[in-house]
Amino acid sequence: MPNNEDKYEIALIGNPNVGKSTLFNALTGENVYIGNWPGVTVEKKEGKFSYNGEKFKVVDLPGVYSLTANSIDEVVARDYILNEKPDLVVNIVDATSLERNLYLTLQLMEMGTNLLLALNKMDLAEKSGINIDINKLEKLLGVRVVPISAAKKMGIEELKKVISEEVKNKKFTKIEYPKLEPYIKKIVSILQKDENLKKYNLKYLAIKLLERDKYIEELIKNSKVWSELSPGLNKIMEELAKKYGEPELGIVEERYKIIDKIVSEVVKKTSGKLTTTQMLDDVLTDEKVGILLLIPMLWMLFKFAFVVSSPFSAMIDYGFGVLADIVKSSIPNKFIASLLSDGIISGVGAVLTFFPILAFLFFALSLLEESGYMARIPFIADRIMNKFGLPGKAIIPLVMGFGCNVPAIMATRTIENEKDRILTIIINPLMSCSARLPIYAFFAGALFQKYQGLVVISMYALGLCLALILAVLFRKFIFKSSPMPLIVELPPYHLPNLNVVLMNTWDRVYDFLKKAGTIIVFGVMLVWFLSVYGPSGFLGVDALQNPQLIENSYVAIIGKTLVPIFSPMGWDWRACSALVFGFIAKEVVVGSMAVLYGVGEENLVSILAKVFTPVSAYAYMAFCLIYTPCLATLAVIKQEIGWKWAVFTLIYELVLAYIVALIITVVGSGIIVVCKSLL
Amino acid sequence: MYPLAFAKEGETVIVKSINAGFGAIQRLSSMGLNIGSKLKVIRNQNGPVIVSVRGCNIAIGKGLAMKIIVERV
Ligand SMILES: Nc1nc2c(ncn2[C@@H]2O[C@H](COP(=O)(O)OP(=O)(O)OP(=O)(O)O)[C@@H](O)[C@H]2O)c(=O)[nH]1
Ligand SMILES: [Mg+2]
Repeated sequence: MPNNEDKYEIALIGNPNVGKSTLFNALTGENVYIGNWPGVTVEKKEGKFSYNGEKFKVVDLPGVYSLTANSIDEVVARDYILNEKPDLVVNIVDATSLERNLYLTLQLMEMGTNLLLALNKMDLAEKSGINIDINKLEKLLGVRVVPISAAKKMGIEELKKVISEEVKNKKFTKIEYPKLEPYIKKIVSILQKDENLKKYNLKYLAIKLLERDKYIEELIKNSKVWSELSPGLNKIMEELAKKYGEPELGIVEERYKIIDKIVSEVVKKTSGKLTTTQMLDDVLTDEKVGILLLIPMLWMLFKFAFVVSSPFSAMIDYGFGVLADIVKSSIPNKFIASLLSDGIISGVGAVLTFFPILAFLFFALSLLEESGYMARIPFIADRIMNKFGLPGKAIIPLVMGFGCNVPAIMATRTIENEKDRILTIIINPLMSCSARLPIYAFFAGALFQKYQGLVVISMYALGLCLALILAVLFRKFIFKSSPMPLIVELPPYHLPNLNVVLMNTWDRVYDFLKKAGTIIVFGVMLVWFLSVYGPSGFLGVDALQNPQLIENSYVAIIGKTLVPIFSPMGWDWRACSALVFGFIAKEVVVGSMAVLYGVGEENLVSILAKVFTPVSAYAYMAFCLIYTPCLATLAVIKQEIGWKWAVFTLIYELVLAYIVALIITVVGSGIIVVCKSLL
Repeated sequence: MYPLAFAKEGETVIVKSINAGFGAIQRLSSMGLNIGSKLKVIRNQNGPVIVSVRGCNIAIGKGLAMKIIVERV
C-alpha cells in the first residue's frame, strides 16, 4: 500500500521522563534512546506501526512541562502540534504524578486537539499504592484514557486499538475556565474579525494572550485587529493583575483549580511514597558526601570500561593482524592488496580495536542515566558549575562529552537560556570524547608504560580543566550575564532495566560502527592514496615501506609544510599530517599513523617509542585532545547555534591547542634538563 | 513569611509569592509550583533547594529560592 491516504499521523507528547520514548519503541519497534532523567529526547523522531492493516506514522516529541516555549525542546514540541496538526495527539501521562502531568493535558485541551490519554507507569503506580479511577477521569476530561505500562509492554495492543478508533472519531477537546470565560469571550469576539486568524483556534489564542505568551502576542500584534484589541486587553490584564498578583498567574491558578478537583475525585492513595529514593537521596544529594561520591562514580565508570574491555580489544587486534596477512598473501594484484591491507585493514583495524572500550563506556553511561543518578548530577554540581559561570544543567552535556560530543551538544537543548547554552556548547569539544582515547592509549603504551592509566586520565582531567577555565573567560568577556538558576525535576531512582541499557548501548555503538564503515574508511583510504601518489605520479605500493619513496608523496608534502610550525614540539612530518586527517574524525589520527608508519598496530607502539620522546608525545596527545572539533561536531555546532560559533570554536581550539602543546614542551624539557643535572 | 531558601529541611510551607522573572514563573508553575502550592522541603543545604510539590521532587537554584516567598503551615 504505497499511497499515503490511509496513513494517519499521531504524536506522542507528555512531560519529560514519563516514558514517551519507551512507548514509541514499544509501538514501532524502533530503538530510540531512553533514560531516567528529564530531557533525554530533544529532537522529534518518527516511526511507523500498523494495526488491522492500517498504517500509522508516530512522532516522538521532546518532553515538555508546558506549551509556552521556554526552551528549544518546548519550541520543537509546540510547533509540531500547532503547525503539523497531527490526526491524533497521544498525551502520555505519568500515573504516579497525575497532578503535575494534567497541567500539560489542560493546555492540549485548550488547543482543541483530537486527544487521547495514555496513563503510563501503571505498574509503578500500583506498587506505590496509587489508585486511579479511569472511568471517572475519562468522564471529567471528556477524553479516552488507556492505562498502560510501556516498560512492561502492558496495554500496548489495547492502546493501538483505541488509537485506531480515535483517529477516525474526530472530536476536539474543549475546556472552560469559569472565572476567565468572560474575558476570553471578549477577546475572541474581536479576534474573529480578522480572516487571517481563522485558521487558528481563537479560544486558544485568547488564553495564550492572557498568559502573555510571547509567540502568540507577536502573531496578534501583526494582525489588523490589534489596534482594536489592545486597549481592552490592557484593561483585562490590569484586572487580572489585581486579582492574581500577576496577570499570567490567573490562568495558571484556574488550571490548577480544575486539576485539584479532578485529582481529588479520581486518585486514591493507600500507602506512602517510595522510600528507596528518599534513602538514596539522603546520601547522594548530601552537600559534602554527594560531591565526594560524584568523582569516584565517574572514575569507576571509566575503570569499568577499560578493564572489562581489554581482553576483547586484544582479540580484535589479533584478528585484524591475521586478516591483513591473509589478504596480502592471497590477493595477486599488489595495488589492491596494499589498499586493502596497508590502508583499510590496518587503518580501520587500529580504530576498531577500541570498539570494546567504547561499547562498555556507553554501557556504563547508560547505566548512569537509567538509574536516575544522572538526573542528580546537575543538582550536586550546581554550585560548582555556577562558580565557573555555567548553569547546573551544563554538567550533563559535559559528562556525555566523554562518550561523544555530538549527542552531548544536542543535550544542551534543555538549557533554557540561550547564552548559557552557547557557552555550554562551545566548551564541549574540550571534553575528551571516546574517539580520542585510541590516541592516548597508543602513546601511553609506547612511552609511559609504567604510568599508562595515569597518563590517560590526565588527558581527561586536562580537557575538563581547560573547559572550566575557558568557561570563566568566555563568561567574563563574551557573555556578560550570570547563568540562569537551576530548575530541574529529580525522578525517583529505579533499578536499571538491563534490556533498556543494552538497547541504548547498541544505539550508540551502531553509530560508531557506521562511522567506522564510512567516514573512517574514507579517511584512511585518503591517507593511503595520498601516500602512494605524489606530484610525480604513482610511487608504487612500496612507498609505505620505503622511507625514500614516501618522501615524494602528497602526504609528505602536507606534513612537511606543517613541520616548521610544530618545530618547537619536534614532531615528524608523519605525525603532523596525521593531525590534518584527524580533522575528519579523531579516530583517523591513529588510523593514518598506522598507515603512514607502514606497520600493523602492534608495531606502531614500538615505532612511536622510537620517533617520539615522552615530552613530545605528551604534547602531541594534548594537541590531539584540544585542536579542532571533528567534522561531525562542527556540523552539530553549526546546526545548533550557527556558523559564527562553529568557526569561533574551531579557531579558539587551534590556538589553545598550540599554546598548551608549547607549554608542555617547554616545561617538560625544562624538567628533564633539571633532572639530568641532578643525577 | 520568608524566602524558601531559609526554610528548614522537613518543613511544609505554602507559596505566597514568586518575585522572579517571567520565564522562571512560567517554568515553576508548569512544574507544579505556583502561588498557593504546598511544598515539603526535602533538602536545603548550601546548594539548590529540593522540594516535593504535587508528588514530584524539584531542585531549585539557591538564588531563585530566595525569590520564592513562603509561609509555614
Ligand atoms: N516503572 C516503569 N518505568 C517506566 C515505564 N515506562 C518508562 N519507564 C521508565 O521511565 C524512564 C523514562 O523513560 P523515557 O521513555 O526515556 O521517557 P521520555 O518521556 O521519552 O523522556 P524524555 O525524552 O526525557 O522527555 C526510563 O527510565 C524508563 O525505563 C513504565 O511503564 N513503568
Ligand atoms: Mg524520550
